[in-house]
Order: sequence, then C-alpha cells, then structure tokens
Amino acid sequence: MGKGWQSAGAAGRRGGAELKSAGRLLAALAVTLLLAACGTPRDFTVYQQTVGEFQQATDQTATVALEAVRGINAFERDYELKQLREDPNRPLDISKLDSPVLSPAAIDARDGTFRVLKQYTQMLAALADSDAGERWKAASERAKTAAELLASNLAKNSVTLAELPISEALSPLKEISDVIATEIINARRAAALEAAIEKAAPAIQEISGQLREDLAFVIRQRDSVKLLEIAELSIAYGQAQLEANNAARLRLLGEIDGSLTARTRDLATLQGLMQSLDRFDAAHDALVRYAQSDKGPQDLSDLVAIVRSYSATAEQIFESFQKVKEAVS
Amino acid sequence: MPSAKAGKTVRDELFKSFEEMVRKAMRPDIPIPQRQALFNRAQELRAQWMELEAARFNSDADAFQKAQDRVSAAVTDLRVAIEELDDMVKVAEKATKVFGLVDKLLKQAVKFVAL
Repeated sequence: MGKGWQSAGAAGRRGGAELKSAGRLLAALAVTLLLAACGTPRDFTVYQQTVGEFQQATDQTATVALEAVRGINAFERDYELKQLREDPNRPLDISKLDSPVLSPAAIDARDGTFRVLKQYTQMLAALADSDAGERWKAASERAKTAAELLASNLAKNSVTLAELPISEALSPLKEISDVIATEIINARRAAALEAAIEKAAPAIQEISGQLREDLAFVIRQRDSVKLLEIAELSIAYGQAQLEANNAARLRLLGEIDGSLTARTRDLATLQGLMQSLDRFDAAHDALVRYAQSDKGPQDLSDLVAIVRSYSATAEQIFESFQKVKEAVS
Repeated sequence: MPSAKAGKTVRDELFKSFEEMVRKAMRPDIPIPQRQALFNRAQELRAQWMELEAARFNSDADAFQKAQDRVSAAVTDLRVAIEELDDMVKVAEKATKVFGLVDKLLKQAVKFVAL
C-alpha cells in the first residue's frame, strides 16, 4: 500500500510535469496563432467597432439617398402643377400628371440595391460583432467549474488525488484553450470578412457609380427648378422697375432673397449627400486596402480615420435631411 | 421617346445649355421680351434634359440587378461564415468536455494504482 502510495505520488508528479509541458506547447501554439491573426485583441475590437460604424453610416446614407431618388416623381409632378397654375395658356397634358417620369421597375431596382447594400454592411457588422468568442469562454467556464467540482469530489474519496496538480493544471489549460479558441475564431472571422469585402468590391464600386448618376440627377432636377424660379422673379423685378411699381419691386426683392437663400441651403444639403457617397467609396476602399494589408497599427489607424470621417458626414447629412423633412411636414 | 442610350456627355451638354440660357434670362442688360424668350427656351431645354435623364434612369434597372446579384453572393458568404463560427463554438463546447474526461482518467488511474 505504501509502495502504491509512492507510485501514485510519482505518477501524479509525472502527470503534472507532462501537463505543464503540454501547457507550454499549447502556449507556444497560442502565440503562433496570435501572430497568424496579425493583430492584438485590441486591434480586433477596434476593427469590429470600425465595421459597425461603417454599417451605421451606410444605413443613414442609403436611407437619405433612397428618399431623394423616390422623390423625383413627386417633385416633377408638383413642378408641372405649379407651371399650370402660373401659366393660363399652358396646355394641360394629363400624361404629365398621371404617368410618373420614372418607371416603378426602375425605382424598385434602386430599392433593391439599397436593400442589398444595407444587408451587406449589416452582415459585415454581424460577423465582426459575432459573440462566438464570448460563447466559447462561457462554455469553457462551465466546463472548468464542472471539472473542479469533480476533482473536489474525487479528492474527498482519495487522499492521493489531493497531491495531483489538478487545479494547477485546469486553470492554465483553460486560459490557454480560451486564447487559442478566441484567436482561431477571430482569425477565421477576419478572413471571412476580408474575403467578402474583396469579393463585393467591384460590384460595390459599380453600384456607387450608378447611384452617383442618380444623385447628380436629383441635384440637377431640384436646382434647375430653383434657377428657373429665380430667373422668373428677376424678370418680374425688371418689369416692375420699368413700370415704376415700387411696391411690386420691393415684394419681388424679398422673394428673390428668399429663393436665393433656399437654393443655397438645398444645394448644400444635396451636395452633402453626394459627398457622403464619396466618403462611402473611400471607406469601402479603405476596408479593401486593410483586408489586403499586413494589418499593422498604421493600416488600422488609416482605416479608422477614413471610416470616422464617413460616419461624421453621413450623420450630418442624415440630420439635415431629417430637419428638412420635419420642416415640410 | 428619347433614346435611352443618350450618353452622359449629351445629357451634360444639354444641362449646360439650360444653365447658360437661364443665367442669360437673369441678366438686367437684356431687354425684358428677350429675357422672357430665353426663359421659355430654358424651360424647354430642361424638359428635354429631364426626358433624357429619366430614360437613362429607367434603362439602368438591369445593370443594378447584376451588381446586386454580385453583392448578394458576398452576403451569402458572410452568412455562411457566421454559421461556421457558430459551428466552431459547438466544437469548442464539446472540446471543453476534455476536462471532465481528464479527471475521469485520473480517477481511474489513481484507483488502479491504489489497488
């Protein structure tokens, strides 16, 4: 029995040494995986947050841009009605009032595109923000508690087990396995994000180019009407001068002033939307560049700066459109 | 019906002509009747430009659809990646059972040695 006791003690010490050796091996593996993931856990958190910001900014840009595009038909119809009201001799062309200039299919195509764009950025953010790592840690914590309980029960039944380095072995093993699992999950996640970003890049660029044309169309549609309005007022002003009608002249001057102010404000808001699309392009390009980079601190810092700038512009444009909407309603 | 293929340059030129015309209509050195005529011409140019732009907009649906399909493929990849991560966690959850197994083995080893 005494010999068995000694053997058990030696076996325990050998087991402890083997576990420690295995622990060292696993630690080395964890370091390798950390290097393979090309970044620190903090870097990954920053990357996650940046993808989240990109998603939110794209949601705001898409919402505003789609609303502007959808408004083309209503704006044109309102303009036709205004011309009919102001010009008694204007022929009434019913088709201009009951047939929208843009087909429902073409509007649907934009709807679908914005939907896909939002889905794409939402999935990027969902993958970046997946709680897989946390769920792993929780599962591993539960297993550790169960194992410790088991070890404690065993120790009650056998004094020999008290000499075994179970609690010593469990703790570092758990930490190492957590590090490995988290890094594997993060590395897999980063690789999937990068692959999707690179795959979508050409189509995103194409969509952005087409949306740019649509937004330029919206800007010109709205601004051309404002220019015509100002021209009409300026002609009426000249007429009032010729007729020496001072009251009409002063009233028209006030209207011209109001129209010019409104034009400047509307133009700034619409051009801001175009600027937001420019920043979207720059932010997505930055994501592609980051995906293809060595992911050094400077690469990450460049990405964060570009996405933050996009986010700030998108937020500003979203707010100014909301204000315009509230003012109209 | 305006050609849907009217290029960007044609549409841009037409809009520039409109802008030129409407700006001239604002000039106080031009007599009022001529300014009114310039204004009317600007309105016509705008209507023509609007038709060309609308035709372009209405004909772009196919191009949008193709680009959408390609982005959708990337969305599918992302969905698959999320599912794979979930699967990894399931594997990891199973792996945690190794702790229990190690304990059981130790218990058996001690029993064996104690005999």
